[in-house]
Amino acid sequence: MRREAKNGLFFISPGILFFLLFWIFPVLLAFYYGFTDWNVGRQASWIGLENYRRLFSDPLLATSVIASAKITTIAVAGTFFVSLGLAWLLNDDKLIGGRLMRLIIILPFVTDWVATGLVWQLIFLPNSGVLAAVFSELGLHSLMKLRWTSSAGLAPWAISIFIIWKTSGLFTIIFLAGLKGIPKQYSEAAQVDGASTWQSFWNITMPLLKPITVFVLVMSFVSTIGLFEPVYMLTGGGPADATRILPIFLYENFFQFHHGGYASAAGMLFLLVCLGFALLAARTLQYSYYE
Amino acid sequence: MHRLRRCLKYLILIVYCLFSLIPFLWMVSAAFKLPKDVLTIPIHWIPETWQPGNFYQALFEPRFSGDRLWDFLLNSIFVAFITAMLAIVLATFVGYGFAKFRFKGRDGMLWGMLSTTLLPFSSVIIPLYLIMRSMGLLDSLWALILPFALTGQAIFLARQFILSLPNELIDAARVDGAGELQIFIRIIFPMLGPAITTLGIMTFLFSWNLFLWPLVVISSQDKFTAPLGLSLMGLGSTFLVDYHLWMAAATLAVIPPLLFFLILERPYLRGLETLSGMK
Repeated sequence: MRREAKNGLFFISPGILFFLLFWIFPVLLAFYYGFTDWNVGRQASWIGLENYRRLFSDPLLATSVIASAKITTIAVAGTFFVSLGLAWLLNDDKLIGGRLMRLIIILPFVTDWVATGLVWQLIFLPNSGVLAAVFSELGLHSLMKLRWTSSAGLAPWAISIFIIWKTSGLFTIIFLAGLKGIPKQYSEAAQVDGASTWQSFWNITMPLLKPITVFVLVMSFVSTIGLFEPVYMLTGGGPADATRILPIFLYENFFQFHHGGYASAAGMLFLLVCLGFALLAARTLQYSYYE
Repeated sequence: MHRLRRCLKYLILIVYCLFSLIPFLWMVSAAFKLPKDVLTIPIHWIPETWQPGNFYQALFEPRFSGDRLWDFLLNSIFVAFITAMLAIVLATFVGYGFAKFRFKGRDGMLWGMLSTTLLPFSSVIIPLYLIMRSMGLLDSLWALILPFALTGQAIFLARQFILSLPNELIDAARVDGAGELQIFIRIIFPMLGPAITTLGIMTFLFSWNLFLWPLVVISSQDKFTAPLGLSLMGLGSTFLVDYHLWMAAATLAVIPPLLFFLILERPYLRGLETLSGMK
């Protein structure tokens, strides 16, 4: 082996070790358990594809997929528009207090889900919570008794609002970095030529921002679909399974019901879906990592 | 017209900033209140009687089996600090290998490690639990540290930074007969100041905010981290509604990461931008 290769491998060896130990090996192990009837604490025996067959006819899994799809769609779309809009407004050199506003907007992202989750529990309390007080202030008394976290219709929205509040700051910062990289002359020239703000945003800024847009959509999708904390903190999966998302399904099957084999198989499916999406995204993202 | 638009811009930004900030302001205000004053309509933003004792009670009053929020905070600080230290050493080491050496399969391996950042953590939680069990690390603080001591993100951050260092320095040291490890320790590492701060703050915050993982691997209360202790506080007090203490505890748990962030805000934001491929 060439000396440079040997030295290079020496330096990256901890990386290889961690990668094998904490990613490859565990996944292989779970892949194996997915084919067994292992219950935590008991011997496992091989049952082939039985777990996967059961999964596809498990109504709870179907409920989880629907809940995950719903919350992820609302939260990702909300986060996307909020952070793009904020970044666009903040991308202004003459803005007074811009730095302070950026700092405030990212605060929810750097704090943890549990502490903020406790606060949001109290914000959403019907009749006496913070939101109810705001509605009362605005004279919207009929809205005060909305059961945000305990009615099946509103709970996914409550959780999505919490997620949007929590994560938009991160993506605002990323969009803002992207927007700052686009020379001002482009849109200025367009406006001199008579384009409206909206036209120059849509026809000039957005196409140039496309790589960042893809990055934000991918990252927010991946991070949102895997979120466990907001649901755990606000609804615990209820009411009536309306927010029983995939991570909750996995968590309950493994850590509460101790169905090790079954949960491993479900985890494999979840991983495969995410991996498929990641590979798809990777093709679009490759450019930015290899520059 | 132009002025109207400017006003509208400030209005939207200020409204969103309030939306961002109000949960925190309300939390701090409630933390100082008497239990009966917490949920009032209209909201009294300034407590009528200040109860700073709430913080003392939240921090030192034993919860569950004698453990206090204070102990949970210390555990969190320990875990987040050690993880950050390990990440700094390991990621710069590995990042150097990826940045300054050419060999077959390098880009493939980098890509493989980076692709882990595209997978949600909860999708590998069961496999990771199995590995921790077989390593005998369940219910140990090391189970919270090791899996996050070297992540794809950290390697990528370190690599991007090291790429910008001049090769001449390394070559000159080689000519002088320095060993490869020596070059890393004596020449490369000391030049990594900004990268080290960025890695440190990002890893610290990431580790501090972990919740699902500690919930799964930690079972003894004396090893709870702050988020774990807090979550049980909320769930455990369905009958005893001491919201003022929840808020005091939440405030206390938010202070260390927030303080750290406010001090190291610039390196942190630079790190975010590097990860998004913007720098």
